[in-house]
Amino acid sequence: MSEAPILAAEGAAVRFAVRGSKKQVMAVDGVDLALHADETVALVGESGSGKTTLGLALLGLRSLAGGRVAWRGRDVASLDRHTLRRFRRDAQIVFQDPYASLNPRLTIAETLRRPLALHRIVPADAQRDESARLLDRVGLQPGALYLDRYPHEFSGGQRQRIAIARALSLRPGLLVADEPVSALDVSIRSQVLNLLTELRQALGLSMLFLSHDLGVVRFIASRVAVMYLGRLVETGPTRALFETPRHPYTRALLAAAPSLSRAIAGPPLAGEPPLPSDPPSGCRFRTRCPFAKPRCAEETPDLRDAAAGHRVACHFDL
Amino acid sequence: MSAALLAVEDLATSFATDGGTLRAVDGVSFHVDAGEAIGIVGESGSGKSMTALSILRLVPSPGRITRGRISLAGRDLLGLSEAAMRGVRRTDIAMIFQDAGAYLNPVMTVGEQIAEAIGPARPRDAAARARILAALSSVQIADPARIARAYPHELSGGMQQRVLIAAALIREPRLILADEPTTALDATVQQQILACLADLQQRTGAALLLISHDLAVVAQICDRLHIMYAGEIVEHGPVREIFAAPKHPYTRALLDAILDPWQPPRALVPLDGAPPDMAAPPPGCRFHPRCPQAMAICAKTAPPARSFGDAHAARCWLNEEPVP
Repeated sequence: MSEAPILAAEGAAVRFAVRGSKKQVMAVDGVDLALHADETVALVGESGSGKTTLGLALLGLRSLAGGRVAWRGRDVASLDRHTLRRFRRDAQIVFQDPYASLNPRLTIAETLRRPLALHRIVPADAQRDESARLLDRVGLQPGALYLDRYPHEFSGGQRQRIAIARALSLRPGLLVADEPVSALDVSIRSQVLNLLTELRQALGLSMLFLSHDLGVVRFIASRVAVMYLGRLVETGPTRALFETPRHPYTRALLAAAPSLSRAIAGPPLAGEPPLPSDPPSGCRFRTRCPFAKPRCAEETPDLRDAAAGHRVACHFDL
Repeated sequence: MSAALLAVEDLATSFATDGGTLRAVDGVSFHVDAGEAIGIVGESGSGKSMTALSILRLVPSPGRITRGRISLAGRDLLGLSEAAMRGVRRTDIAMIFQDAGAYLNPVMTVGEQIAEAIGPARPRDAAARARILAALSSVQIADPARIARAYPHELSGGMQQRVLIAAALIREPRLILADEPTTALDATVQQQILACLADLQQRTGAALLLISHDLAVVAQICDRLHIMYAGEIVEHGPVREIFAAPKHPYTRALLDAILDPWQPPRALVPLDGAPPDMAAPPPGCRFHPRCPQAMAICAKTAPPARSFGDAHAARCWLNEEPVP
């Protein structure tokens, strides 16, 4: 398949200035990541890894210090107004906290009507019916019954469904979901994960799923990219990555995940992630890596092919 | 029979609200033996944190304990004066919460705060200083002298949680009460803190009451589990028994919802609906509106507790033979 990916970061870099200092943080540092039609790519990382920043950069919501973001083959930075509008419509996002992402002063009908009106998805007199249909689609049935309520009348799981309905209202081709189930209780989390899976298949959506939770990632993703301090350390098909993780950080993350199939995990990884404003030289993981050698401090490892579609940024075959 | 270190009997804690009386904890009983690690697992609103706050007598207004008995090493905590209760919180029960940063004083160094936990000793006193550094070392802080001089904002979340644990444990409490101690932390750091808690608990012989929404986390370091739903304990028992043979459909649903990254993915069969409004909980079994196996009786009468062996019990009509 030679078709251009739906969305791709090519050597993308995002820098932040540090307040009260001349220092800069490379939140994202030279990342290549492609999202193809019909796939769910999970971007895994802990806090400070840069996954949210990368997600926002992919949506054109963070300016790049280097590299580019391409939407269906076109550089997002140089889209004309008309095409930019189409991009904004095509690429939607669902955030982690459904208590913060819905305007508490708008009814659900108003929340859903605005994007429909802005992008002229349906005529004005059909907006209410369309909104009800969207609520039906995300499992709030019958949707018409919920339209005139306010966000505070809904539980966390229901709010996340509403946020998903709003994202779907523009009939996007791709969805960035930033920790969409992390704030939900486990019994509700299963409902929302099933909904996302079902919608993705039914609507042919491509999805970029940002998460720190490996159990959720293994459930939902077809491909996984692991991020540490602004760089990708490993990417690969979900099954290969979970069955034969190659980067020591991926292994450490897996070892740290609570599991029922093993007793207590191995010795926990020592230390904590270094500050993004002051990353280690060479391989950024080396300060916590049990296999670090002098070379790791000098040379930054690039992603290299380790197996079919499976790439790892480590100097060694571990 | 050895007397329990902590015994909670028929505890009920309610909140008077505009929408009626909210029964956050409703008839909860359990015990923790000396040196034992037990867990309480439940989703938000299940009453697990309010159970912990009730034990500490720190239920926020307008909530109050309306019923029950709580005893620690034979002392009736609900009958103590506020001054005596402060003493219990200071010396007998160590508290560790989710958001460690919020429980550390931002304008005091770590060393000063731990010194304050010891009592009147001055931090410059050599013996006190040695004790502070030892406490920081005991939570696997590699460079205790440097951390003792640091202010909380200079520390990461994981480091703040370690400091809070060190401060909580320096008085050698008999009970450690930890409410979601690792929830705000990244996975690799969560693992470190859990290992640290388990290690300290074993070394000091303190009992641990761990409260979490995460069954897999609790299972890692606890001997016995209690599953809470809508203000009640619906099942309790040894971790292995509960995982191997859960006796309540809610427990089963929680187990089914765990996504294990070490196993190939499987279909998720989620529970419908959401936990009830505790101002108007459903009649009968509070879980029946969401229960995939609900029967007619479940909507009418609350199920009795049935025991399975010594330490395992559940409240569900499915366990009754014949079904009434």
